[in-house]
Amino acid sequence: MHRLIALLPWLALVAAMAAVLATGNGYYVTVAMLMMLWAILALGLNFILGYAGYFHLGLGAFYGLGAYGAAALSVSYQMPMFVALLVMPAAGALISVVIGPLMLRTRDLHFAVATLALGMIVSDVTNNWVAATGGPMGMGGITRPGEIGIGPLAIDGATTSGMFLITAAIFLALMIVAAIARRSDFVLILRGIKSDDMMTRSLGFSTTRYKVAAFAISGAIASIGGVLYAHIVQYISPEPFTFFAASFQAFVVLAVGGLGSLWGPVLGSVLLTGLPEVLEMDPHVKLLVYGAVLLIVTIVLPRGLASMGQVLSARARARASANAKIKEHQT
Amino acid sequence: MQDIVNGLAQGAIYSMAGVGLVLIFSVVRVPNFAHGEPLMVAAMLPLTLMTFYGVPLPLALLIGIAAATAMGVFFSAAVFARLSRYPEVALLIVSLALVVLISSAAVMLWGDSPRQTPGGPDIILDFLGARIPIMWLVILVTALASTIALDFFISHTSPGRIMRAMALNPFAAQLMGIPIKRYHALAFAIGSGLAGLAGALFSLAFAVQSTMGAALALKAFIVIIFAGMGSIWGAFAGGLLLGLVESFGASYISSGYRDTFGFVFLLAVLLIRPAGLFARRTNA
Amino acid sequence: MSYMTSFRQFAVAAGFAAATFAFAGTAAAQETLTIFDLESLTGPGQTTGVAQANAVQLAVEHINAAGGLKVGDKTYTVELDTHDDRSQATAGVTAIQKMLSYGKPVLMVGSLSSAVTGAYLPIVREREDFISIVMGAALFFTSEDKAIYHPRVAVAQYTESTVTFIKGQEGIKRVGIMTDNKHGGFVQQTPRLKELFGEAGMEVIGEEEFSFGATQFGPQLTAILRGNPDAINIRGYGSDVARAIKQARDLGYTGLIVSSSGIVAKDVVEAQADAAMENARDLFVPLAGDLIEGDRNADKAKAFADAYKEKFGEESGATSLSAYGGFYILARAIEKAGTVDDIPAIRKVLDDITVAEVPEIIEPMIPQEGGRAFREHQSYFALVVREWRDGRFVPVGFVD
Repeated sequence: MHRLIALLPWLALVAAMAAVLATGNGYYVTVAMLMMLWAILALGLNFILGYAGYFHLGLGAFYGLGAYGAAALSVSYQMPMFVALLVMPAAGALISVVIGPLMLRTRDLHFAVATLALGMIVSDVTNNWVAATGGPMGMGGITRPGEIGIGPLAIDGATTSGMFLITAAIFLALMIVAAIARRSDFVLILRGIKSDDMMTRSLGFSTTRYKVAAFAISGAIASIGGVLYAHIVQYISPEPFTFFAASFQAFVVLAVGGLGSLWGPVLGSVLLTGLPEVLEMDPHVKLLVYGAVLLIVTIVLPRGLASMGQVLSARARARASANAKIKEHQT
Repeated sequence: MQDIVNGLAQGAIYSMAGVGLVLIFSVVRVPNFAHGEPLMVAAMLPLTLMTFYGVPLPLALLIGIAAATAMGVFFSAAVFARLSRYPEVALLIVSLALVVLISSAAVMLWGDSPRQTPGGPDIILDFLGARIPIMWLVILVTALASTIALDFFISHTSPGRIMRAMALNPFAAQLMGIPIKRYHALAFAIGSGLAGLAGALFSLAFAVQSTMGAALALKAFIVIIFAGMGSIWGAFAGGLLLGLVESFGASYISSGYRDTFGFVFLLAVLLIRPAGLFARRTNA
Repeated sequence: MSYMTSFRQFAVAAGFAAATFAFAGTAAAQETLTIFDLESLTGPGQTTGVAQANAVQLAVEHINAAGGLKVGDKTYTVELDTHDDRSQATAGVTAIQKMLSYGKPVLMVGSLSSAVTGAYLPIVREREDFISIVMGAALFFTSEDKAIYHPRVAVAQYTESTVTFIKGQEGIKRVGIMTDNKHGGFVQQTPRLKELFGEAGMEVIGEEEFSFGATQFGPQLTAILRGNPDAINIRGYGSDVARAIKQARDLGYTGLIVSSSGIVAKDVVEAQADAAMENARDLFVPLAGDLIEGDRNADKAKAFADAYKEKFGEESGATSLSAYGGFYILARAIEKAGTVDDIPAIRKVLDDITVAEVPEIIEPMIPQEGGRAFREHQSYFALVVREWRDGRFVPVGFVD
C-alpha cells in the first residue's frame, strides 16, 4: 500500500506530461519544456545546496557552459545532440572537480559570494569573447536531432513535440537518479556535512571529497540543462545565463520548492516558471508578485512547498489537540 | 594618475557601502543582499523631491539619507527580527526577495534609465595632470570621515561597545540582558544610513538608476570579504582597493572585463587568504 | 475632438483621402484581423520598446479610424495582440510559440531586441505561414530569411556614414572608439569600422567597451585619452552616450565626439551634460523632430509627432517612425495582395512594394531598384547629422 502511494506522484507526473503532449499545442508544449528545464536545474542544485547545505549562487556558469558548448559542437563541428549530452556534463563535472577543492575551502556567505563571482565571470566571458561566443549577438543555427528510433516508435527531434519527448526522457531519468540517490549513503553523508562537517569528518569520511562530488554533480546536471536549452531554443545569447536569469532563478525554484526534497524542484518550477507564464500578468506586476511569493513562501513554508503536506497536517494535529484540551477543560 | 583618481572615486562609494555592511553583518549576522536598496533610494529620491515638490538640494539629500536609514530600521524590525529562528538559506532568499520587490517597485516609480542629480558643485581641479571633479573629492573625504566616526562610535561609546560585544559573542550578549533587537535595529539604521549617504553623494557625481542596488550590494559583499568580515578599516581599504583594481584593469587590460577584475581578485583573495586580506587574529 | 482634428490634418498631409476609406468602412460588414505585436515592454529595452509599441498602436488606430483594411471585397478592423518579450530571448521564443499555437498564419510586427529576433529567427525563417516586420533590431537580414522584412536602418549604414563624416572634418588623424558591448549590432560592426577608418587614412588609437546602462566611463576614457585622439566615436544608446560625453569633457577632452545613438534632449538633461555637448555630433536615422526642423517630410512628421504626443503625452522614441511606417507597409501589402491568409502572396507583394505606394512612411527611406522599399528584405534611409544648440538637438545636414 505504502509503495503504491509513493508511486502516485510519478504517475501524476507522467500523466501530466502525456496530457500536455496530447494537446499538440506548441505553446503549452514549450512552456512544459521550460518547466522541466528549471526542474532539472533545481534538481541538480539540490545536491550541493539542498543536501550539503552550500549556497551555490553560480549555477548559471555551468548552465551557460553546457549551452555554449552544445552550440559550438552543433554549429562549428556539426556534432549531433547526443555528443553534447555526453561531452558537456563531463566537462562540467571535470571543471567542478578542478576548481571545487579551492572553492569549497570556503563556506556559508564566502562560498555564496565566491560562486556568485564565478557566475559573473562566465557571464562576462560569454559577452566579451566575441570570436568564440558571438558576444551579445549570440549563436544561432543550433540543429536539433532528426529522426530517432524506428517504425512507429520513431520521433522527430526537430519538431517541438519531438524535442519535448527528448527533454521529458532526460528529465524523468534524472528524477529517477535523484530518487535513488536520496536513499544512498552518499546523500546521507552530504546531509551529515550539512548538519555538522567536523562531526562527519571525525567519523572518518573525507568530507572534502564528498562536497566536491556534490558540487560536480550539480555542475554536470546544470550542463545537461544548458545542452537542452540550446536545443530547445536553438539560439543562445549571454542574457539567459546571467545571475538573476539563471543562478538566482534556480536557487529560488529549489528553495521555494523545498531544499533536499525530491519533488521540491518540480513543485517550485511549476509555481515559479509555469504559472506566471500561463497567467499572463502585467510584467511589472509579475516581478512584484514574484518577489512577494518568494517572501511569503519562505516565511510561511521555510522548508518549501514540498513540506506543505507535513505543515498542514501538523497544524491540524495542533488544532485537534488544542480542541481536545478545551474539551477536557470544559468537562 | 587619472586612473588612480578614477579608482578612488568609485572605490570610496564601495567603501561606504562596505563599511555599513560590515557593521550590519557582524552585529546582526544576516546576509543582507538588500543592502544596496537604501543606497539606491537615497540616490534616486532627491531628484524627485526637487522636481515635484521644489525641495532645495541639501534638504532633498538629507531626506534621501533619512529614507535610507528608515529602510534599514524597517528591514531589521519588520523583516529580519521576525525571522531570527529561520535557517540562513531562508534569510538569504528573503534578502534577495527584498531586492526584487524594492527594485521592481522603484522601476515602476522611476523607470530604469540612469540619471544624475543636478546642482552639485561643478568645479574641476587639476592635480599632477589628473582632472578631479570637486564632488569626487567630497565623496572620498566623506568616506574617510564616516569611517573615522564609525570607528570612534564603536570603540568609545557605550552603544558601540555593546555592539562590539554582540559581534564577538551574540549568545553571551543575550545572556547579559542586552536588548538584542534594539541594537540590531541600530546597526541596520547606521549601516543603511551610511549606504544612503554614499548614494546621495554618488548621485551628484555620477548617474544612478533604480536597478543599481543589487550590483552595489554584491560589491559591498566583495569588499567585506576582502576585509575579512569584521574590520571597519579593512572594509574602507577594501573598497578603495576594489575601485583601483577595476579602474586599472579596465584602463590597461580590457574595459569589457571591468567587473571581472574585481571578481577574479576576490577569488584569488579567498583562495590565498580565506580569512580576508586585512584580517587580524581578533575580529571587530 | 482635438484628436480628430489632428488626425484629419495627418490624413490630409499623408496624402490619401480619409473619406473614401470611411465610406468603404460603413458599406460592408466588418471582420477582425488579428496582427501580433512582439515588443520589449519591460527589461533593458523598455524605453525604446514602449515607444515602438505606441507607434504601432497609433498606426492601427489611424487605419481603423479610416475604415479599416480593405482586402478584396471585405473590410477588416485591425486588432493588435501584443506580447511582451521582456527583452529576453526565451520569453520571445515562448511568445512566438504561442502565436503559432493558434494554428493560423501569423502576421507579426515589432521586434526591438536583436537577441529576441535572433532567437526566434530559426523557428520562423523557413515557415510558409509567418511574416515578421522587424521594426527595431540591429541584425542584418537577407532574402534567406524568408519570413523577415526589415524596414529599419541596419547598423552597417551607421558604420559607413560615420567614417565618411569624420573623414570630411579637418585635420583628424587619430580616432578612439568606444562601444556598448551589449549592443550586438555595433559589436558585430567593430572590425568593419576599424577597417574603414584604416582605408580612410586614420589611425584607431584605442578601442574600449562599456556595458549598456553604465554610469562610469572614467577608465575607458582615460585609456583612450592616453592615445591623444582628434576624434572619439561612441557607439551605443543615447543615455549612455550623454554620460560618456559629459565624463570625457570632465576629463579635459575638448575635441570632436561622434555618436550614432538617436540621443534626445532628455538624455542630455538626465546626464547633466548640457555644457558638455559642444563639438559633439550624432548621426542617426532622423527622428520626427529632425524631419520637422530639417524640412524633410516635415508635414507628415509634424502630424505624427502631434498625434503621438496627444495620445501618449510624450515624445516618440528612436524606432517609433520605423514602426509606424513598417505597419503601413504590411497593411498596404495585405490590401494589395487581396488576402489576409495567403502568406506567400503577401510576401510577393512585400518583395516588390515601392516606397511611393506607402505614403505613410515618414522616414526618408531611400528607394531601391525600381523604387522598391526593400532590397533583399532590408530598407535603407537617409541619415541626419544632429548637434546640440540651446537646449535641443538641431539637424545640421543629411547624409543620403
